[in-house]
Formats: sequence, structure tokens, C-alpha cells
Amino acid sequence: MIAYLAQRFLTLLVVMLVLTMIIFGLMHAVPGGPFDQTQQPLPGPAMANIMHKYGLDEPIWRQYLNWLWALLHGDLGIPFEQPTMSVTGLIAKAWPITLIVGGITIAISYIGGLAMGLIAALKHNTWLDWLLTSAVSTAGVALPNYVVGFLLISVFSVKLGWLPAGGWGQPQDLILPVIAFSLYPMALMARFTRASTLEVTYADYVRMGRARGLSERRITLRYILRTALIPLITIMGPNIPNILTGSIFIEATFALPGLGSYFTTASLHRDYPLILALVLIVAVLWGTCYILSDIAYTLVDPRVRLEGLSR
Amino acid sequence: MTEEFSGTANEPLLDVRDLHVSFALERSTVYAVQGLSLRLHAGERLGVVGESGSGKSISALSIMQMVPSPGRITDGEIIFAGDNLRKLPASRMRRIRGGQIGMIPQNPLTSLNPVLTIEDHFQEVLSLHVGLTGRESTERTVELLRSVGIPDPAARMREYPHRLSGGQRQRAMIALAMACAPRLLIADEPTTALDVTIQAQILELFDDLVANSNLGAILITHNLGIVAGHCDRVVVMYAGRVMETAAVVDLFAQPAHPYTLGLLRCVPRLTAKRSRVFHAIPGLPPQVTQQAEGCPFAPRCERATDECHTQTPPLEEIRIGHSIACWHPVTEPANVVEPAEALR
Amino acid sequence: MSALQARITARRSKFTAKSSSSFWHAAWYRYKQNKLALVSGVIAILILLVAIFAPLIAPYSYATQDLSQSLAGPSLKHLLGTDQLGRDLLSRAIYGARTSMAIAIGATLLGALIGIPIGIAAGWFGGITDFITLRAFEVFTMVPQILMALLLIALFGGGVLKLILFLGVTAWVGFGRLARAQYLALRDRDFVIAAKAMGVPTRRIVTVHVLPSAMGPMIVFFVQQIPATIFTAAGFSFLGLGVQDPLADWGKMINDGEQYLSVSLMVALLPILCIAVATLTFSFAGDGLRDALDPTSR
Repeated sequence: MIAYLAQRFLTLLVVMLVLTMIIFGLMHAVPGGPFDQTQQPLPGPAMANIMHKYGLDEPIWRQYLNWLWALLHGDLGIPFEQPTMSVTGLIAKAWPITLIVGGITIAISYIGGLAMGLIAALKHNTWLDWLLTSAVSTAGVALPNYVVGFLLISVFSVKLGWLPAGGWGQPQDLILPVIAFSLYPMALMARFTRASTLEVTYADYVRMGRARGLSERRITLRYILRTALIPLITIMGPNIPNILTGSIFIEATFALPGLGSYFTTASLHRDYPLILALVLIVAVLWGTCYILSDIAYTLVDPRVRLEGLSR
Repeated sequence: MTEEFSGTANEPLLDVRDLHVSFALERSTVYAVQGLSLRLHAGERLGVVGESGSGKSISALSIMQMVPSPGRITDGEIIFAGDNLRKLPASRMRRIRGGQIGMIPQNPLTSLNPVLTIEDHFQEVLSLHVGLTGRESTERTVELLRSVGIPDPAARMREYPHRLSGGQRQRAMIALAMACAPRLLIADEPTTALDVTIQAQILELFDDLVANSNLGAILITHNLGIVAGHCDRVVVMYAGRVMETAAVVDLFAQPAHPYTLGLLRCVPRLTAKRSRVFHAIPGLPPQVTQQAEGCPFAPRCERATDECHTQTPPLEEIRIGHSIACWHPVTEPANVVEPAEALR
Repeated sequence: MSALQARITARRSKFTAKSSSSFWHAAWYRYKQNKLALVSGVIAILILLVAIFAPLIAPYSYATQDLSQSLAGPSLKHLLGTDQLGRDLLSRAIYGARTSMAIAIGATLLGALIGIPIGIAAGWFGGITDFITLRAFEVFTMVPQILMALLLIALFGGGVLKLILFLGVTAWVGFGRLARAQYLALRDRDFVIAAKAMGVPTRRIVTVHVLPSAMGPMIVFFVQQIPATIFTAAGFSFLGLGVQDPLADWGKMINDGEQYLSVSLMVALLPILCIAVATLTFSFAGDGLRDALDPTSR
């Protein structure tokens, strides 16, 4: 188990190195630098000065190593756009907003989707199943979240005037973004729950359980759900980091000053330190969640656990 | 508790009368079982033989009141130990399933819950039907697993199903079916998913259980060879109908239905001369989507006449304990396969 | 060429023609059964036709401005009203279909053309090829496609062609994974081993023998990717990064109309509805296609 985990983390580390190198290379492959597009063109000596200050006059590999070295000391650098703050400080300010929206979204969508998927599967081939599956969950997967967001704003903010159209600060600011953001993961969860529950519902061991006179309640809880929910861990686990790092579209639609909107502006302004830091956060979170859901899977499914231990 | 059934020797343990099961699909209705009647006494082993799709498995599920949707029992009675199972409330039927009737599945590999240990499975039924818990339940589980020949049962029962071999899992399934001392055991093709060597062991175990526990057993199979070695009576089914029913010895000595004869010819014989052709019944069994008149086997039958295509032959007794549904029974001694030979 | 050989060839072509046509026939029958998919398929095709024939259908050009008519409501002259520059909304929505569909289909096609060969190579050859491909998958899944594409567009600039390029090169992973899984599963099937034993060259086995079996899921995935790409592409234009003025694009139209939500709902609502209808119909059609091609999947 420990050897397995060590190997996974090592692979993650290598992949991260490659990823950051690619991003680094990409950013520097673009002609021009981050300070080319500032309001007034800087005079030659001033430009050289600022390039030197940020280490941009060194060769790329040197810059990359400098960046890595700083990273190892927990220093993510200074954002070009807001030189008075550190990248770490900027993220510490923006991420909580994204985390709150994302956290509530995960709670609502995962629980709601689970319930919808279960109901659809247990009422298989009824009108309720059809409604939940075809209508709600396909629509939820297909409709872009910003489209849902604008529809919500049009109705609840513009027409009815009940809720704010965007911004951050008061509790009711959360309602519309969370609804718009929840729809997709909820629909996804409902889809997978239904599929994996249906697969189990007609399994031989469920029928044999009935043949032994077990009650429907017991069959549902111990025979159907317990096995049906296991694959959901590997499917829905890796989705968590995506939600926790926010959606650039949702944050743009509702004018939320979270990670997503910083990613957009940082990309536009070629704010290298900020871009790298944000990519790093997303990738590390993704990698950890992936490994964690693998571990969770081995803990829950005896077939995998015993296999893993014996080999 | 249900009142103890005080059957005499003549009164059957299970009496199925004129059972009809059909599946209402969107465009058509499949008549899976049409007028099945059978009787089974305690201590008796009844073989139900037929090709796939003949309705034999559905008949078994009907006895358990577990016909899968959209199937439905449309007519007939199923009297088990004095109760008409069709009229029993669901809660009492549940107590009979697993308590009074045990079932052995076709595929042991997929019939145990993968996330429960073997012991968990036993604990469930033992507490539900017999009221055993804790140490008593554990002891009983060990005893049951030992009785079906699983080595080191105390250790094996703490394993998850995937750690056991196919044969061991089937033994565990048999022990599970026997856990609450049922009066009727239904085995639905219990050996088709197993290796040949394991098959023989499992069937031997089956024989021992029936002999020692005085229970009635139904063995569903498509293999007449198995019937010859492990059953007392046999029902031959085709397209949801009974074609022939007789004592095993009688059936093998004097098969009267052309379909039975055809099935017997399909049993390969080791003692046969090389020159003899291996037989097969031409054609495929029908999907019965309409209640047509006439014998369902007529299209594939070499003895069929016009009458066979227009009028359904009734099931009639031709000798004591030997009935067939056929207008043109085979009368000449068949001498195709002796039961003892089929066993080898 | 002997008569016998000719007869065998004739027979074989008859056999394959019959078996494959009956498969597609059965699939079409199943697809027709699904009313939702059928209606969606028809609408999806209509959207494609509108996109192709936009100049013939649209009453105005997408760029014709009439500032005196700025943000006008629906009238006989402008059926759905105008935007802030007095451009005809209906015309812009029709031309928007053109841009959106071109980007969606172009980018998905590019992704398929990159991903499928890589996936086939990984699944077919295994070993080191497979290992490297899997690590590449990992690198590219660690950062979500949207962020990667956003970064590329922000760095290198937007526009229709660049959107297709960047969305395409970031979309290959999905196709790659699918193709790899397909070929991994098909590699050891009897008909492949038989072909190998008969000395059929690898390139022919991979294309002529295996590809038809792997085609179904790939087609389904392709159709299902289209709504996702519409979503992302329009999203970038909505952020102001994608398609630039005066070209019409649904995402761009949301960007334009967003500020005038309180003045004229139609300006933002029309492109929103267009995106909603397009993504929904392509999704429903894709799901119907999946169920029709693989009846066991439901």
C-alpha cells in the first residue's frame, strides 16, 4: 500500500514538472513580454530595468529553475499586475470565495444528484425515471452553466428583482451562482448513480437475496446501494477539484472575484507568476483528489482491497 | 410461524396445477409457461428438462413468486405444504423463501454479494428465518459449510466471495440454501457454469442432501444425462408446455414423445459405434408469442400430421405415472440410451 | 483470376454489405423509436443548414449598423429587434450559428484527428508507446481543457481559426482515451488474431479490420463533444477572448447584450436561447445515437 502510494506521488511529481515546463515554455514562446501592452510604452532603459527586476532578461531555463527554487521555499513570486501583493496573498484572498461557492455546490449537487439517480433507478422505466433522466439530467449536462446563469439573472434579478445579479459580500449573492454551478455536477451525479444502480438491480446476487426472503429494504440498502455507490467514488472524486477551483464562466457571469476570474485576467495580462501559481493549484488539487479517490476505492471495495494487499 | 404441515405420504409437498405465465411486452405477449402441472413429494427428486426458452427457469421463479417484471402468473395454483402460494401475502411469502424453499443458482460466481463476507450472507438468513444470532449463528455457519465440504470453514467464512473458487462458491450457495432447513430445494442448472469435474462433485452433494434431509428437490437442467443419474421423476418441457412426464427409469426405457426421443438421441454415447451419426433435432424452439392451436413441436417433428398442426394434444396418462401430450406417440421400444449408460 | 475466385469475392462482398447494412438499419430503427432523439436530430440538422446557408436566410448582414435603431424592440423591419449598434438581431443569430457551428465542428474534428491515431497507437502497440501516451493523458487532464485553451487563447490571441486550433489541440485527450480503450479491447479478439495469422499487414488490420468495430463509440463521442465545444467556444467569446467584432457569435452576443439586460432582455436572451437549443439538441441526438448503436448501454 505504502509502496503503491509512494509510486503514485512520484509519478504525480514528474507529471507536474513536465506540466509546469510546458506552461513555462508556452508563455515564453509568445512574442513580446508582459510589459509590452501596458498603457504607455516604457522607455528602453526603464523596460530593461523592469525586465531585470523580474528576472525576465535571463535565459528561460534559468528563469524556470529560479521559479522552482522559489517554489521550494514557498514563494510563488509577485504578480506583475499588483506588485504590492504577493501571489500567495492574492490567492489567499480570492480562493475562499471560490471555495465557499464550490463547497456549497458540491454538497447540494452531489446529494441532490445521488437522490435523483436513485429514484430514477428504483422507478426504472416509469415516467418519473424518464423525466429525471432524459429531461433533467441530460439538460443539466448539456446546458452551459453561464447560459443557466443568465437565464436565472434575467428572471430573478431583472424581471422579478428578488436577487442580486452578481457581486460578492452578502449571503444572497451566493444563491444564483450556486444554482447555476450545481446543475452540471448534479446531472452528472444523477446519471452515473442511475446507471450503476441499474447495473446492480438486475444482478444475480440481488435476485438470490430475494430468493432467500430478504426484505426489499435490506435488498435496496445492503445489496443494491452498497455495491452501486462504489464506482461513483472514482467517477465523482476527480470532479471535486474542478469545482473547488471554480468556473471561469460562472465567476464572470456573476462578477465573483474568485480564482476563476483571476485566471482570466492573469492570462490576458500574461501575468506569469500568477498563471503558474493558479495552474499549480489546479494540478496539485487534481492529482491529490485522484489519488485520494483511489485510496477511498480500495477501502470501500473488498475486491480491490484484498487484491492490493496480497500483491 | 406457519403451522406445521402434516402431510401424509400421499399428499404432495408441492402441487402445481395448470400454471400459466406470460410476459406482456410492448408489441406482443410471450406465453412462457402454458398449463404446467407437476407434483413433488418429500424425498423425491424431480428433473425438469428442456432447451433454453422452454419455460423451465420461469416455472421455478413462479414457485418462488419471483417472476421478473413484466412477467405475470396469469392462471393456475401453486400449493406448497398446504398453502396456495399465489394467495399468500408478501410478508408470509418472504418467510417461505429461504426459510421453506431454498434455491441454488445457475452461476455461483455472480450470485454472492461481492461486498459481504460469506458469513454475512449466513448471518442474514439465520437471524431472519431461524432467529439465530451471535455465536450460535457463527457455529451454525461453520457447521453448514463443513457439511458441504468446504475445508477450514471457520477461516473461509470470513472471506469475501471473490476469494473462493467457483466450486467452493457453489458449495457455499448450497449451504446457504440449506441454512434454514428448507423442505423444498430448487436447483436451476446448478452445474452449467462449473468445470466438468466439479459438476460431478456438486451433483453428488445434491444427492446426499436430498437423501439425508428428506426434502423435495427440483433439478432444472437441459442435460438428460444429469436427470438419469440424479432424479427420480422427470418433466420434459417444450415451448412452455409439458410434453412428457414419467419416472426416470420409465422415460429412458420407453420414451413416448417424439421430442423426448429426439433429446435422448442427442445424448452422446461413448459405447456407440463410430459409424453412428450424432443426432440433432432440426430447427429451433419457438418463441411463443401467440396461443396458437396445435402441438408446438409439430414444425420440428418427423411424425407430425395435419392434426398436429391444428389441434393441441392434451397431457394424457398412457401408463401409470407416465403421461404425454402427443397425437402420435412412439410405441416401439426406443433402446436409445440406458440410464446407467447416460451416467457414464 | 479464376471463376471460383470471382465467385468468392462476389459472395464476400455481398455478405459484408448485407451484415453491415443490417446493423445500421437496426440502429436507425432503434433511433427512430426514441422520439426525443428524433426531434433533436431534426433540429440539429436544421441548425447546421441555417449555418451553411446563413447568407441566403439572413435578412441583413451581420455587420450592417443603424445607430438610429439602437436597441429597438421587435418590429416588421427587424423581427427580433436590434442590438446596441442597431444591428439586426435575427441576422446576427443566424450568422452566429455559422460561427459557433464552424468552431464546434472544426475543433472537435481536429481533436479527433489528433487523438484517435495516438490512442490507436497506444492501444495497439502497448508497451512503451502506451506508457508515454498514458503520461501525456495525465499531463493534459491535470489542467482542465477549458483552462488550457483559455491560456493559449489569451497568450496567442482569439479569432475563429485560433479558437478551432486551440480548442482542437486541447480536445484530443478524450478521443485518445476512447480510441486506446477500443483498440486495447479489440486487439486480442479472434478475428484480429485470425487476420494476423493469415499475414494481413498491420496497417490493414488496424484500418480495415478493426476500425469498423471501433467506429460506433467514436461517432457517438464525436457527436457528444459538439455541444461541449459549443459551450466552451461561446464561453470564450462571452469572456471577450474569442470571436472579435464585427463577426457574429452567440457567445460574443451575450457579451454585447450583458450590459443592456435591464434595457432590452432580447439582446442577451436570444443568444442564450440559441446556445441552449443547440447544446440540448446535439446532446439528445448524441444520446439517442449512443443508445441506437449500443443497445446494451441503457
